[in-house]
Amino acid sequence: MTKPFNQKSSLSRREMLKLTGSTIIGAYVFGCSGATEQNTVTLFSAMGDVKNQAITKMAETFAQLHPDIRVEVLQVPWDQGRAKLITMVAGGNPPDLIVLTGQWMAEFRAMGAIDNLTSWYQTWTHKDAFTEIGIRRCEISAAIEDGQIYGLPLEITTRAMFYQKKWLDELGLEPAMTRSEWRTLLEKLTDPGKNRYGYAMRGARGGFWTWWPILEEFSGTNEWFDKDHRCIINGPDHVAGLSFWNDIYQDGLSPKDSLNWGYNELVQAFWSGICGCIEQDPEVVPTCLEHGMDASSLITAVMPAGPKAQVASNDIWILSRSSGAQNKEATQQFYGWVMAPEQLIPYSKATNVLPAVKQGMNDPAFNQGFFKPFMKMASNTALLQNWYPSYLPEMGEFIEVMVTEEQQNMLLKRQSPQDTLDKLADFLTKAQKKYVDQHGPDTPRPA
Amino acid sequence: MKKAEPYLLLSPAYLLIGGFMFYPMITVVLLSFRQYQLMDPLNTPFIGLEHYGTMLTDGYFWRSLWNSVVWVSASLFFQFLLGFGLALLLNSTKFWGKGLYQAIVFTPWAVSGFLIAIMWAWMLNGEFGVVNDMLLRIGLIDEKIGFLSRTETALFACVLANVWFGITFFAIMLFAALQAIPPSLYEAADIDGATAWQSFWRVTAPMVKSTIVVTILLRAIWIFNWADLIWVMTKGGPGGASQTLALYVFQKAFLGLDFGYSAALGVALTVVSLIFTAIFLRVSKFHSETAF
Repeated sequence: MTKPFNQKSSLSRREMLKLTGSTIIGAYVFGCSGATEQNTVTLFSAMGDVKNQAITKMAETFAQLHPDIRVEVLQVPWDQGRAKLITMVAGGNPPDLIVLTGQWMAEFRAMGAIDNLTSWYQTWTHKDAFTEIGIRRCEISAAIEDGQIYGLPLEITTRAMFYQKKWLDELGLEPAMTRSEWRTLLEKLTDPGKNRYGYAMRGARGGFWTWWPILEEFSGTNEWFDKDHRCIINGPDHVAGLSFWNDIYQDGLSPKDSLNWGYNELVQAFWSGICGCIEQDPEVVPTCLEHGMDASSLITAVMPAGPKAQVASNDIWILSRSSGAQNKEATQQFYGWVMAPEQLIPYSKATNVLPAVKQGMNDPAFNQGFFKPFMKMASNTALLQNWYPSYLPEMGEFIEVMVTEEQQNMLLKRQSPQDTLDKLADFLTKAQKKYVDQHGPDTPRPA
Repeated sequence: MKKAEPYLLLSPAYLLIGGFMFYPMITVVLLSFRQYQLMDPLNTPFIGLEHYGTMLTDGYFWRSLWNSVVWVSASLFFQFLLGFGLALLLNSTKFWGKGLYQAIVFTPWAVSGFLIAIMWAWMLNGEFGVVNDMLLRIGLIDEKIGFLSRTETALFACVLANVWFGITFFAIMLFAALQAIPPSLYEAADIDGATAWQSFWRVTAPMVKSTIVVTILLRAIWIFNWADLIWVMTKGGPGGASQTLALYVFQKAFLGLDFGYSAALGVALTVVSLIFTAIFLRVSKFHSETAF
């Protein structure tokens, strides 16, 4: 039944005003949850859903302990992270705390976006808590330079090899320890008749992260430039390394379609039983387990060693304070709390990564089962640490656009590995010379 | 004062259009004359036409422009042909449940481009794709085809997904135009002894012509500017085989962070669209009332 026009509304105007007013005040009070605007700390994170949630949870725990400080986590999708952060910094509206990958540190420091934490760090209770590799990765990525601290490691990510254990058992094989053994193993695992391939190759975007360590293994160096700032990645050893990777595809040890594969296809090709091995981060272990793999069908192993070196594909996520941080005291209070081992170890467990603190090295959770090889890779100081000249502004275009296209041209047999590396080296030599012209000859180098 | 009044009243609209349309456009044009690397935001000198000079010798630019031509024309041809056919069929037949059938047929238009791309990428996957599986079972092929990993097929695989998506747009628009034709015109044609072809060419075609021209024009520009479908399906690969101009702009801007050069590419994209529009409107005789 419709209401006649003259019937009094169930809410009077005065009541309506009261209701609106109290809603606004309520929302304000609720939104602030006890902290004033001055005590809000913003934290930028582009680490992916699982880690972003873990960070948010830590922020909530901190807020319960410190009701006067509110930590707001700005969650950004990984592939937009770098561009968004640059925009925020360049636009004069930086967050207070930033979670950066090791590859981003040099560029953001060059932009003047990162604060020096050294004086605070010297008085911090947990200043000796970090592992040797954790500190070394900080040095490699310029988060620590000449004893000055610009950020500390939140976690270490590293790569290990995942194998189909049942395939290995059927053929009486063990995970390979060297690249030549690995190549033989891939040949044995490949059986197109059964729709089985030895390796799931990442032919599309991100393929660089798999073939660059092989070039380091073949050349025994993680340097990119010589003294004259010429790029050296097209030398004979580097070419041999890239040829090794290219031959895996050309000889049919990886599916033809893998030319167009990125992360998702790669992981699916492994757990669905098409490919015998992939190299991945520990975060892929839960994905495999969710899809029915277990200790009888999955085995992880350390990365095989190349002719001249064994390379640890390590990287770190670093927590830094922005030089534009609004409330340095509150920011620092949260920073000191969240970087303590008591927080970092449960965080690593929740997100399937390795902690960069000594206390975590002996934690049984990281030293057994699928995680053991990862811990070995992340803690062995004798391994060659991989490195990229991420201070070059052209590095984004290099890795994201140029490398993918050139590597695919090679896999399509349009050009040889030598041609491919010649083109890439030429591009980087120009970029490096431009950088040297602007900033002087002291460019960052691998530690 | 009297004279100024209409302009005064119109000024909010002008301000809005100016602020939201022309300001960003002019900014992009100005940006294209600067070196603007997001990684080096404090060093943005004016460099005049340098980006445009680079563009002329940039092999990637010409290749992506050519790929765009193939991408737009192939997508548009099949979308229009099948969409118009569908609209004619829907218009000329009556059956029980037609409303529901129409709703189902028009569904793809409501699906996000991103989702369509993911769906087709998995369907066309060379290892686990359902398309390969079906073709193998029927016996049409002996071994799996990597639709997205072969240079000859990658762009056309994207075209296929785009056609599936875009047929519906033409079907919806042309179906509406067909319904607006008064039946009396067909009756008159019938009485005059017109054949089916004559009544199509002399009655249907002129009556829906303006809709056809506008939909083709709109769709051509949309497809030309549309990068997300290809980005999700092939990332422009393999080896740049499916890289279109719109995708190249996106890659330069958001992966290479070279906003100066990508702004210049964006201006080129707009100029190409404008030239196409001018030629198309002239060739299609948009303003005359005859068939084409």
